[in-house]
Amino acid sequence: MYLWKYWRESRIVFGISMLGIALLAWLVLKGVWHIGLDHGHSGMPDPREIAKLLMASLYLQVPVSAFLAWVMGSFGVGRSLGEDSGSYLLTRPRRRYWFLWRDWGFGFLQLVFALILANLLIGYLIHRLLGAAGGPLSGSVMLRDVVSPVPLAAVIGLNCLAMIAFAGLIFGITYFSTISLKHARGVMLGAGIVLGYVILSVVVRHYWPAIELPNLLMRVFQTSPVSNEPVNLSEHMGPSLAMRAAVMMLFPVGAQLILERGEI
Amino acid sequence: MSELVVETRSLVKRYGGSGRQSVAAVDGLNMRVERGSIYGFLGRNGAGKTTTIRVLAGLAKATSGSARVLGLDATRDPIAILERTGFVIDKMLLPSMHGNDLVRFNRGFFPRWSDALAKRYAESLEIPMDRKFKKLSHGNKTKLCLLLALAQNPELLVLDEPTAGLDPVVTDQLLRVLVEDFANDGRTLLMSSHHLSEVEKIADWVGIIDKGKLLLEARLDDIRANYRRVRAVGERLPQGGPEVLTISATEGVAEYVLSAAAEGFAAGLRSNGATILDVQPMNLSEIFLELVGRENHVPVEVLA
Repeated sequence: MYLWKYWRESRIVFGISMLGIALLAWLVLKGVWHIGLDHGHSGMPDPREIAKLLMASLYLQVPVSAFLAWVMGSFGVGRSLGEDSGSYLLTRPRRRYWFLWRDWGFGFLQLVFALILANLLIGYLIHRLLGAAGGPLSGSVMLRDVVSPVPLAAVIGLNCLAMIAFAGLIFGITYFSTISLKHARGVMLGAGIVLGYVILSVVVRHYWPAIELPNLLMRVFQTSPVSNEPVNLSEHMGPSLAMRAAVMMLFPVGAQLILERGEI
Repeated sequence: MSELVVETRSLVKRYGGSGRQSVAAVDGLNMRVERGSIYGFLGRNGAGKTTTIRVLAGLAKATSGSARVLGLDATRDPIAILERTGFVIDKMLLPSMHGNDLVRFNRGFFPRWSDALAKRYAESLEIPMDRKFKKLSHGNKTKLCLLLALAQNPELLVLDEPTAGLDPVVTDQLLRVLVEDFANDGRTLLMSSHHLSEVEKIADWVGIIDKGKLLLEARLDDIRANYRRVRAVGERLPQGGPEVLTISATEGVAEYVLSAAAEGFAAGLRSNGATILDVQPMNLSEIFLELVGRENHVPVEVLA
């Protein structure tokens, strides 16, 4: 029953995200939105174009999924505390963590669902492009520094995981902020933390080039320092993903500690 | 000895850290609410009523002392307490839900929830259940809070200022439901208020709190039967006594408020040469003003 409360709060945002994906799918399937690729001398699409397209799709998802995660993170117990209904909600006979993990779990699940759907659509779009071109490229991606083609599904999967880790982090930061402040201002604090980190990264890179702060988005591709085009898949993505998952989980755990110790 | 459904012992709740700047919202509170009673918890704004209720509900943690509800420790067993107790504290529910949604939302939390009761109170209290909570009038918001607390079929109902800001008709409706439907069923009602006339109408026990301390806890019948104001003129009048709650003097007239044995006290004054002007019974409002309206209190008076 409690999930129903979160669903009531988030359903409009989730519905809009589903509509957005559905609209994109319709545009692609109907052929209204056509992506043209540069073709080489052979008449086949340039393999590097496909890799570039995959990397671009990753970056294109960043603002949309960040916004979606930010809004989703504003729902739940933190929102109720901000609306002064915390004393009502937390006198329902359940432990405080019970409310918190249901919020976080259900919100995260909705995010994951939306991101998987979006990436499946992107995968299908690229698969169609490759399929239309025919030939040996079908179902795989060529990267400059990789000898054998990389399966398209693997790249899409990695993109999807990178987006989930990124959106989960934004979602967790916002959720944590609303619980910490017990106020709607927590939503702005969440955005402030993320933007502050991005600005800090830029400043550090500018003044201390030797120091590189971890990127909020997992790096899926290695890029050429000259052309900035993807040349290979990144190394150590497993540990990077595990680290990101751990950092992502710090926020709901932190929120739990604050909520359990806090007074309403 | 009667079973206690609420019992606090030396309960202290301080805000603002543990240093000198900390403020004691509740300061050594010893409160006892018997099963089946209607307990009026009285005090001015900021006296410590809401803080005490928040500690009982597990929303705030006591700095020291203990609080037990239905025999369970409020800090260690909050869930078992919440399953059996209806708390109405801030009178703020989930703003975007309709009354019917809130009933549906609550149902799953309480093992003894009754849809029939919810329906009955919605009809008898005339609550528009198809309207969003945030769009309800203040009176209807309070009624809906009460409906949800009653429909969970609690053994104990704890209400913080339930009639604050309500018109007399709604107040009367609520009090009737509380007394006739809830308390007459042998269940316990603890209700904080500063509306003395309402409490006097329904309560059988009262506790008066001020600056976090319980100044008085007694049966209302005992108060009516025993509490007296004695006004006397004379020299060498006593400055205290075992039953004396407060003493004041205006223009040569000494005024004593006694919790018991007023006639004996007056006789003692007479024998010392004093002239007794009158011995008057006191109502709850007068006692409240005597206790809370003064700066220096005679400490806690408990009539068992």
